[in-house]
Amino acid sequence: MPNVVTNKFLKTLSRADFFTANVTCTFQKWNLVGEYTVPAQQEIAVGATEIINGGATGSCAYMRFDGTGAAQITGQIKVMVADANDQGQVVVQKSSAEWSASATPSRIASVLLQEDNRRAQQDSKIQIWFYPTAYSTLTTGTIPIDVTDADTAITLPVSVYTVRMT
Amino acid sequence: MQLIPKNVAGGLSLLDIAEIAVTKLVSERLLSGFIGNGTVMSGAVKGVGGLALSQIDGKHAKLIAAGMLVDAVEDLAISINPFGLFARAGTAQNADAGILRI
Repeated sequence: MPNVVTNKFLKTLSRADFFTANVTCTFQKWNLVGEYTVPAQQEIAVGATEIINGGATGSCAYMRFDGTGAAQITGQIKVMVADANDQGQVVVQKSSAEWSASATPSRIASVLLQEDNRRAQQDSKIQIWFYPTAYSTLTTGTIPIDVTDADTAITLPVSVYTVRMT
Repeated sequence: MQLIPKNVAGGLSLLDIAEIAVTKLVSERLLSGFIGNGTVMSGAVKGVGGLALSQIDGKHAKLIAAGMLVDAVEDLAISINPFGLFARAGTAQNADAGILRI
C-alpha cells in the first residue's frame, strides 16, 4: 500500500537541533556545522509559508555564529538536504552573507523563508554548512563556533508532514 | 462471449463490460474539471446523471449509465469513507505534484 502524506504542521528548528558542542570551522572552506535527521513517519520541507492578509509570506529564518571571542564570524551559510547515505544532496538555501548581523533574533533581521518544494524523508538530513570568511582580523586557520554564546543562534522554520501507511 | 448467463443478469458481453469501463474512465476525467472527483458532490452529480441516463431506452444508454453509476459509487465510497475502508486509488499523489523527495 502507498504511503499517504497527511497533516502538516510548522516547526522551528533551533541551534540545539543541529549542534550542542562547539564546532570548529576552517576559514575559506565549507564546513558542516550540524545536521538534523528527519524522525520516523515525517517528511520535512525547509521553510514555511504563512498566509498573512491573503498573501503568501515566508517564515522568519535566522542564523548567526559567534566565535569564542564573543564576536560574530562572518561568512556564507547554506542549507542542504541530504539522504541518509549521502548519495544525493541538494542546496535549498544559500545566502551570500550571514543571515543576520543583529545581536538578537528579530523579525526585522530575519530572512523570510517560504516552504521549499523538496522534502527530506525519514532518515534524510537537513544540513547547515558554513563558509567562514573573517573573524575580527582572523581570516585563515580555524575558528570554533561558540555554542555557549547566546548570540550563536539558529531559527530555521520547517514544514513537517506526517506520513502513514494506508 | 457471455460473462454472466442471460437468465441471471440479462447477459453482459466482454464488449459491454469494456463499454462500462471506458465510460467510467472517460467520464471521470472529463467531469473532474467541473465537478471534481472523489467527493460527495461529484458522486451525487454522477449518480443523478447515471440514473437519468438509465431511463433512456437502448443498450448503450444503459451501459453508459452503468459506467457513471459505478463511478458515482466509487466517489461516494471514497468521500464518505466509512472506517477508512476505502483508500483513494490513483489520485492520492496528485496533490504532491512538483514535490521532490530526498
